[in-house]
Amino acid sequence: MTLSPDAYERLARIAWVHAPPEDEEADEDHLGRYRLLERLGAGSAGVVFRAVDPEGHEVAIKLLRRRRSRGERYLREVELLERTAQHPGVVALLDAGRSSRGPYLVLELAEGGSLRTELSRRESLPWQEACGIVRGVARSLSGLHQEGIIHRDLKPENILLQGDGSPLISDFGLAKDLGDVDGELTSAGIALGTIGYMSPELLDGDRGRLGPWTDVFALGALLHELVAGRPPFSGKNLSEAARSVREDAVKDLPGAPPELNEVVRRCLAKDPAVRFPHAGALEAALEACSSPDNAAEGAAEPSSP
Amino acid sequence: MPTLYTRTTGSGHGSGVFPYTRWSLVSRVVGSRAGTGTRRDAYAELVTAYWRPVYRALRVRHRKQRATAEDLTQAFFLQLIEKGTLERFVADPDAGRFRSLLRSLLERFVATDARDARRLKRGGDRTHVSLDPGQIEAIEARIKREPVADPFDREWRATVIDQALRDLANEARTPLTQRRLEVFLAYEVEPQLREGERPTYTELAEQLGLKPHDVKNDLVAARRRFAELILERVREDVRSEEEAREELRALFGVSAP
Repeated sequence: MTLSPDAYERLARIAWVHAPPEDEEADEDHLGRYRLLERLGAGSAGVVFRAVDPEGHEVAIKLLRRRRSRGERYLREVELLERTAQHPGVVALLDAGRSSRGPYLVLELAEGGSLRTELSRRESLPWQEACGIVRGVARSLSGLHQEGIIHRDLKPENILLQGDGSPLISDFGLAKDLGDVDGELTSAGIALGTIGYMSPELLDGDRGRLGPWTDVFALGALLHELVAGRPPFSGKNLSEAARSVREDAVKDLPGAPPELNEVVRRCLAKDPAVRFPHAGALEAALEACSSPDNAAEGAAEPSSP
Repeated sequence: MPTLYTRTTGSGHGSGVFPYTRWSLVSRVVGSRAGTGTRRDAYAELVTAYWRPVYRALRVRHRKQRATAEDLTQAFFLQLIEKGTLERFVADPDAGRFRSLLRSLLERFVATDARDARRLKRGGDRTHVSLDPGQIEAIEARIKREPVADPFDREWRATVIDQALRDLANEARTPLTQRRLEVFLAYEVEPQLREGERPTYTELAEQLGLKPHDVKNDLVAARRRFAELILERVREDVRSEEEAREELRALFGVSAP
């Protein structure tokens, strides 16, 4: 009896991500072999730093909250990041490990920051630009969907911009391999996601109905917020926001052509069967919206302030 | 529980459990007089500890037939002794990591010395060490299923993993550590052995008569302990903590081959 190559891979991953901390004592300037330069942001999952590796390359380090290192999720995120890093348009995992301050992921640094930062700076984007960004995300996501992976937590905070403005998908903390059965991760995802970007089936915790169309919903919400400057569904509290997702109709985007409004409506349909079945189909529809005729028409109309 | 990882009680080369660090093992080979039992035992342990990556590299990288690869594996270790390579390595604090040394020595051996393999084999009959036929079959199975760019490092890593799994099994002597081992093997190893789906925590808890919360905690503890044992095994092949971390990164890190 012998172990399979897959078993060795899994055990090697465990050996790496659960290795004892390299630094025995906390050092606020270092995490493992990385020197921290500045804090870029923080979220429920942890804190993100700009850092530099021993060879002088700048990287992003996500220092995870300790509880995330306990269960399967941290290991799963590392494994998924390794798989997804094969795809263009997905943030690359460069390293992972445990420090005395907690587990961390070392990621490719996106020079342009997140789409959330971009939105807070510009409020909204011209529909052509927004369409280009979401098309880029859909293109990258398409490969993941073909592999049976859904992200489940797409939102402006998790889309990073490279130096040339092209998008990078990040944060696979809630991602799900559809071939995998693990109820715990699903329920954790519902508690942690951002309500306005969560499809009705995700809100319902209906694991059997999750699929690539769940990400398509989030991309519709993303496109809406980029152009309109506000998410399509919102509320004063979580339950109101959830009600809005389940019941409210989607309003037309200011200055956008009818074809694009139709695409957004289809993405945000309450019934998953009405939505584009996967990101590849959405990408094709957005490409049609960006045809020269539409682009010229849109360009003639000023976008919302 | 897979028989491969049940507790072993013996020591020495036959059991695959090494009572000494690899450094002391290499030093014992170097430091003992030729022809003595001490030297033969230390040599046998050395071969047992390191033959797998050598064999796999010979089979894959150098396209040697099985029988030839077995002969050359034996010859490679014999010439390490005959040529005093290990002595020089032990004496040189800047010689680098043992894995890298063995890998480069193997390349040189294949390029220059392999023609002497028959002579070496004849001359070394007294120190011939049997290569575990079960392990040869296991490596052959991996070769078929896992084409890799660096078979030497991949098999080295597999060897370290196997050793750490045995360590984990060997130290499971209390009811708690035995339970953790059982949960770890059931969740991380057995589904891969069967090529089946990994059970959920709830399913595993039902199967083992535990609470799901215990399954989760046991897995966390066992994974950490397993990772510690891997690092301990890696430390045996290097001379400093810094080298150990570099070695861990090279073999197990995100960019490992």
